[in-house]
Amino acid sequence: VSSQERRVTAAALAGAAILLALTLPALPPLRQLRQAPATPFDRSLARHLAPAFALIEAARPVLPPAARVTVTSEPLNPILDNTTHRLGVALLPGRDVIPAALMGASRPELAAQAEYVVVVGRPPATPPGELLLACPEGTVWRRKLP
Amino acid sequence: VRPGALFVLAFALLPVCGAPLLAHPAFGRYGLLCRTVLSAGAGAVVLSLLMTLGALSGAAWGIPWLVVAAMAVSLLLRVCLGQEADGRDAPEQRPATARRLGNAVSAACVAASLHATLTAAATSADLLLFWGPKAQAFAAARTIDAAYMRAPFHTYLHADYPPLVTNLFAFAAMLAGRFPWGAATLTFPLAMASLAAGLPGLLGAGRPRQAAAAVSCLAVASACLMGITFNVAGNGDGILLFFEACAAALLASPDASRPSRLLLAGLFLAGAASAKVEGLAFVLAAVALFAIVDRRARQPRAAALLLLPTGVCLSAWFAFGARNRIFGFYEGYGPLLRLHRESLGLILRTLAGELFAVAWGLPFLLPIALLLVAPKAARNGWIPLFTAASLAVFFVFTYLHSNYLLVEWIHWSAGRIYTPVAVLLALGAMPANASNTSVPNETASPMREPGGE
Repeated sequence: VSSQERRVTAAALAGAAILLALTLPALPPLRQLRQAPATPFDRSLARHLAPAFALIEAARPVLPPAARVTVTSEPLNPILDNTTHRLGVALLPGRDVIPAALMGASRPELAAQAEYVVVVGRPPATPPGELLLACPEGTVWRRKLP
Repeated sequence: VRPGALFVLAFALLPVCGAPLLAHPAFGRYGLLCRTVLSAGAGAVVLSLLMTLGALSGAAWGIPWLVVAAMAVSLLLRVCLGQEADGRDAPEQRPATARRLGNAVSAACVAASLHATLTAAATSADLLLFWGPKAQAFAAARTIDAAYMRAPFHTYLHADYPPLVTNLFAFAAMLAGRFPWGAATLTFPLAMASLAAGLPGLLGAGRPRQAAAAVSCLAVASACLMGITFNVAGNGDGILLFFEACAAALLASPDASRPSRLLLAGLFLAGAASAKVEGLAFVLAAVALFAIVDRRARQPRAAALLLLPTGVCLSAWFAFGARNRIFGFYEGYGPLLRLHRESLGLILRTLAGELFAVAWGLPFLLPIALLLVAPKAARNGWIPLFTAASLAVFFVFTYLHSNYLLVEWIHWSAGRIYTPVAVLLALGAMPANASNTSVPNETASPMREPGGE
């Protein structure tokens, strides 16, 4: 084994050990492994999506196939609604998910086409219809369309 | 059996798909573990191509016929390779302490990536925003669902993104019976484990095996640290990195110009190009550099082995897009040369801030320091380094195409897309020649290049 090989081997191992040592503090405590996270986003950089994920997952059983659904937020946040629409598309397969916002701008005329409303956050001041589900992350409503 | 377990189990079918090719004696030097990983990579590329061709021709996907057809294609590739034997590395004279240490550190890094994934600390938002929804819809439709991608309000799904990741996810979801979101994130530790298992064999073939284990371990440590920090679990970045790192290791090896290596490298390059858009930039840079440093790569047959798999995979994809009028080519960020040159300073400053925020830039600085410790002698060894440099420049070029929310764009993407740069730099630190290896025992091959080994 040449001295160059030895130097590279030692330096690479030392470098890898340093990177591993720097990785460990970024990890959640080991005890967190004992309890499965409620959503895949609980401790990620996108943890702000965890409540919407949990609510939409919980809403699925009360939303019939092919239902027209919109996902919005309370208080109204068009930027968040942009993303919650995409969460709805992902987590509600078989339903027609209509955006409550596009490109960060509210689109009430589109959202009004939905029979079912999933509201992330606190319950709306004016109930949009019949309450189907209430949980800490939000509420699900069915409204009568004209 | 739970859908999540079935989803992960589906990835165990990938080595089966590629096994007929990797069982060829030409790959005997790599060892069982490395060959299993290489079989998975080759099998994934062939499987994804068949799924795209199935979508193009209107044949509904089914797990049994896809697996059998992928095995048949792998067998055909094996037959095309003809007779090519492989020399065995001489047994090591010294105790492989460094190798054991390297494997242990790699295993610890993979365990860290698994821990971060299981505790929901590494999940990519992109899983939920487009990778997952597309795969879920395709699995339900048993094809690449063009109508789903054309639907109103689905424009954000990046219909033009190449198909390998969504195809593999859809394949696994078909076996699982539904798309399990949590299990999909496990593709990140799976990709890291595949790198940890495959790289030492690839780097160590004909080169110092202790150094190969150490350099592999540095590459895996970089990938895990950056993957956890920038949350890549469930998106395409881990899979892209797997293909890029293996392709670069193959092209940098001393016997890279053998037909078997060229074919395998070609398949892994196709995997990179079919995983993410930037994979095509990697392919073009790697092949161009390989042609510069190795004159045998300029032979038409060698170029075909390297580039044909990428050409076939991307042609099938663009044909699907054109036929269904979803896209013609990568939509990109506007005309190629319409650049916001005034943003260059801002881009470089923001990039530096982002990349040096991770462990003070050590994933990039440590491999560079390693190069100073051991200057390179073999020309092939420069391929990962120059490919890394080419990718780094390509990403800056890409950022120059937009000045809308530029800082935010760099913030959410730079760490992920620059991870392969760090890994390629680490691979470039591999010493050139083994002092304890035999010369490959190559016999006549119908694909052998004149002037070859």
